[in-house]
Amino acid sequence: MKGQAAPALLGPGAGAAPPGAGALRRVPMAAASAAALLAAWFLASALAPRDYLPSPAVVAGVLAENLRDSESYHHILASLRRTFGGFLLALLGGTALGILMGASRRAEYLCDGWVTMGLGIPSLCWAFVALMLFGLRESGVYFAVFCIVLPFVTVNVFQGVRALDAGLVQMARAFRLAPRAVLRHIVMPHLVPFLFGATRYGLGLAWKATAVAELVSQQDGVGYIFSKWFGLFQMPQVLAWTATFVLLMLATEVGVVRPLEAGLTRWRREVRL
Amino acid sequence: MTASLKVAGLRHAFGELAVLDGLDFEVMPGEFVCLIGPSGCGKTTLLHVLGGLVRPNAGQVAVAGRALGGGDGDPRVGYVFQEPRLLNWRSVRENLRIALEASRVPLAEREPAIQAALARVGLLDFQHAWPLTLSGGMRQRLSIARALAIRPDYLLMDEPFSALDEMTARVMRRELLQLLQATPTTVLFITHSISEAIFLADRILFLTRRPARIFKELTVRLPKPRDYGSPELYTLEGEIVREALAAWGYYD
Repeated sequence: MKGQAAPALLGPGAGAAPPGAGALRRVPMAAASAAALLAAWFLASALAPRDYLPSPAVVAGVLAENLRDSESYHHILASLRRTFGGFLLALLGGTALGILMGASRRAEYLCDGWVTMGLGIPSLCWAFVALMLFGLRESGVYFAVFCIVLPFVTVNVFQGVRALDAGLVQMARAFRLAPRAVLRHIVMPHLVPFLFGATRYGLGLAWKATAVAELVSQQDGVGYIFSKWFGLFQMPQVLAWTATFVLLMLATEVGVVRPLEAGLTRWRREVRL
Repeated sequence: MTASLKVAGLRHAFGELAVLDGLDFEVMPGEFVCLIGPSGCGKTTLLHVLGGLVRPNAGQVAVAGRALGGGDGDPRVGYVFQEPRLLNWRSVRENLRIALEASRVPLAEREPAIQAALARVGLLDFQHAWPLTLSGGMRQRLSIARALAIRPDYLLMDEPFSALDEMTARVMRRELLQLLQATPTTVLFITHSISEAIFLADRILFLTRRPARIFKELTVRLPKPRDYGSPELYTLEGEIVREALAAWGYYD
């Protein structure tokens, strides 16, 4: 019995899926679920009264048309700049704050309440605060995105620091590692999975925040375009712009975030139980 | 000869809980001293004090005549824990390089030190590997290599083989003694295994149950290398076990 059970749980064959097996399964599954969404969309648009919900084909046509218009790229780039700019600021600030809260009780008790409060403040509030502080300037959007994303990054990083292996910290002290070396060789590598968690969530949030802030204060960007087309009740345009940005965020996740994460967690991935 | 490590009147308590109750002992340069005591007796706390991780309530620790924690010229301490405590996200060689850097080993000496340390524990071929791809024994070898690579003033070992299977542990004990022959080092080794202590030690200090005091000191006069199966070891172990168990109150 023992001889059978052990290999099944921990033997070389157990966790060691053949290389690429994950990718093989992932692609058809993702394609199937995308196809299901499109099918549901088609069906819903056929059943919907009048033109409340244009079909995917119509939306795709509008999207293709938009992409031939050079002005569209101005709006897309403006929104991307604000989303990534605001997010990166929040990632830096939240990482610093989270580490500080994890390292010092005093910092934790001082900031804890603010961070919890920040988690609950609606994006729209920050967009209006930004409008009051910055007027119609673009910096207001960065400010709003930063304020909205910061608490989420902070919470993730703080949890990460709390999960730090006390034994490693002790080792670092025994070998007299300088605080900088501890940060570089222990804290930051340990935080990598937590930072990617924060990135997944934070980027999506940053994009939503950007759209709201643009809607409130900007004359360009996808948020502005949304409100324009919605005002004219041009549903194909509203959906086409939504699709544009959703696809861009998806491309970021698949093309940038995942490869980066895979590279930075190689030390763990290569282990086969 | 000045003692490599001199402990005088060492006392420590965590709040109400007295852990170390006046310890006095010396370790000579190059000597291998085992500290043995029942679990929970304060052995690890003692090692933490000697490693500068915990400041004791009272008493002194002097390293080569200088007080520990005196600031200037802090001693280099090589520490081997029960678990390897490696940086799993850094390669095998990086783990050594980071320790060497922290110990202020001059830049030019680091690379030769890494090569030599890895060669001594048979991990040279694995220098670019991730630690988690190594076996438990190899990881602990790396942890020992790290502690020796910094050329420590003394080496503290906290039950380094107790998490390994017995066969691996036996091989590693033998290897440790060979390593120490090549690079003579003062060692303070904590264990709860009497047979391990007899195999390794020049001298054994026996601690009471918490709060820890030294109640017996034994110089092991058997020549090294010793043999695990030998009757001398076996006889000595039997005598010690009886005495120790009585002192720790396991016989009622």
